[in-house]
Amino acid sequence: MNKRTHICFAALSAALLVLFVLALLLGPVAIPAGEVWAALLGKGDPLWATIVLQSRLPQAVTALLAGAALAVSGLLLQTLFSNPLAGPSILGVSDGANLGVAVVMLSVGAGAGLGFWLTTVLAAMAGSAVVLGLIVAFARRVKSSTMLLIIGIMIGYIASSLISILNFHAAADQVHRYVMWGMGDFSSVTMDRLPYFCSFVLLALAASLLLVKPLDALLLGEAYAANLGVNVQRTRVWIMLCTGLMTAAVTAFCGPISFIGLAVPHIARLMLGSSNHHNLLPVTLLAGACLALLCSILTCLPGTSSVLPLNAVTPLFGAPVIIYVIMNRRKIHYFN
Amino acid sequence: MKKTLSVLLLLLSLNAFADQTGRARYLRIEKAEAYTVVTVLDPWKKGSEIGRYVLVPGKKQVESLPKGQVIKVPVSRAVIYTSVHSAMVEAVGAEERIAAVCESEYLTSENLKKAVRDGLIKDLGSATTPNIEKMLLCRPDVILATPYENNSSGNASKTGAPIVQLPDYMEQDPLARVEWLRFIGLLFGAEERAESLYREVCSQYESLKALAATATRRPKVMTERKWGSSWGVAAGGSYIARMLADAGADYIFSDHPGSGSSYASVEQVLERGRDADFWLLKYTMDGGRQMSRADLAGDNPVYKVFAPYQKGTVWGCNTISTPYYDLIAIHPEKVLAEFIAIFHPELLPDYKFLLYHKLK
Repeated sequence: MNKRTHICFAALSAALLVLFVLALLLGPVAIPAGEVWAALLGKGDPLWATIVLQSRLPQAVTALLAGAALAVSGLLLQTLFSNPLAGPSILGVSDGANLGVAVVMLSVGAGAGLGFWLTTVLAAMAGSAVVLGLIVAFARRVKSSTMLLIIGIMIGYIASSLISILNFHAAADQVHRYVMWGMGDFSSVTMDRLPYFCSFVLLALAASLLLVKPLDALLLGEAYAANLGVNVQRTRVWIMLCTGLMTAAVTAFCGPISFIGLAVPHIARLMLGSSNHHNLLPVTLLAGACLALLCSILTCLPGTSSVLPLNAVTPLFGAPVIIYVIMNRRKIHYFN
Repeated sequence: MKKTLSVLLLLLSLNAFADQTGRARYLRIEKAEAYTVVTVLDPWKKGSEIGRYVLVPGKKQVESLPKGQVIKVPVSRAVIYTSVHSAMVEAVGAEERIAAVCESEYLTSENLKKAVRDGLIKDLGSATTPNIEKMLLCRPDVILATPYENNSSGNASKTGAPIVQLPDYMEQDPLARVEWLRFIGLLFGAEERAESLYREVCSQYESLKALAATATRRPKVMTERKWGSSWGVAAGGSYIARMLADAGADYIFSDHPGSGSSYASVEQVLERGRDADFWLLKYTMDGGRQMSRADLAGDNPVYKVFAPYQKGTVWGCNTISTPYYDLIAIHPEKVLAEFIAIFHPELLPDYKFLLYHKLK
């Protein structure tokens, strides 16, 4: 590891810690720092303890993990399709997950409880797996990465129109619930759902970390990777499993969250100045967690009574990064 | 001089009260000998109008009419977009003049539902995009629409029938909303029935309010649930907030800015509502199923920390299987009675609940 890499890791770890603490300290209700600490230790005022333990802590953990998962999914997809503009929301993978969730929420009906949420996770996984499968199938025939992105966007449109049709026939209450879900929300993972969410995401993140070597080989091209002894077919399947599980778990629980998956891998590459996955993957993971925590803090600033939808905040950070990357693509060496 | 003026003002206000008119903020009714001018004000833009309607009794021949959309009354074939307005027309006894409605699945009156099943009332589908060909077939002579902020009635103008905009839901006083029945009465030739209904509702509401004022204790009340990342709440200026106060309760968001439905963060609801005495919520469940405490906790376990959940003082109203939205518009005194019976059961012993039930 060179010096720059060390600085990256140190800075991101510190930022993550600070943001996590801020996420616990800041909220619509003013709670003194000492009381937050007391609440975490199970002491102090019971009302504040409830707010910290039932609302702020699960939301901060969810944001951290969801951000990491989306960012790593984006990186895996960008390497898999050797396309810097790939990401779960652009390739239609999130739309596939959306469709799965919409089928459960709008047609199966007003379920509640943990069983209902686990069903939506499975439906979201099925939806994202179908879209990923389609994209991979198209990728064999369509060599241009721009064209593949357009196909992804088209598949996304098809999924969206199916969702509109479902919406049209659903009861008002279900539509309302679905619309609110669509705005993105890290607070929907409550304390008792958190273990499930964590296990899905941590499992997929751990599996992704094991993919570092074959991912580096894929950067050199599939033929070269095969020459290096990488089983390209199996790597593809693993990448799809990991991204499918992460996108589906995050989407089912928190709604379709835009831009984190697309933009964070670029932020990580710009910081590192390298595309070597050995460092890039953990840096992407940390940066994704930081950005999601920051967005989560910004949705409910102290002193405001209402909560901004998450998807109103993420594009503010994500979109400028993508524009910067496109404008400077000749100077950024990983494009070449 | 000053004293006489204030006495005069007091007399005037008492007189206005006795007359029970002029509560509605967005409705003006001016009667002339040969016609009545009804002005509907824009709730979203102060000082402007959404519509001005000149109601002319059918037989009369009038030479010069004031500016406005002329409607021959009583109307005989009405197209009605919103189920609450259909219920208002039924309340003044003119249901046989309804030619078609939109979204008939939201009707709660058995009479009207039967008329739809028998084909006496047509269903034009979605209220945002009604089936215009079916509407033309109905040959309507008036269309009752509900305006939302910045919308237009679109295609309905193709029928040539006057479109009456009814933003009654924007009123901030429950009785003001009932006053809109007077307009409905004028349109359907049921003026007297509408007037007497309005008066009766007002007097019953006032006496129930007076009854609730005798309660010795004002319980603390929270409402509704979390939707997405925020909690849906009725703002402090809304008529729900007003009715909760009239029912002798302290609403936890009575100082929340705004006059309609609004949002609060979960933290704020926890801060203010954790030790509430009662929790009232509306929900929709198919087939008239009643929500249970287990359903509520399954929806989001955060609900379990609220005192009403723990004490079993959560009351729910299934808005699909009860006429909640009709009653809140036409008979707010009945909804007020429910609130009083929940908060102060000793004031209304043996009360039988129409809308709300305690979550088991």
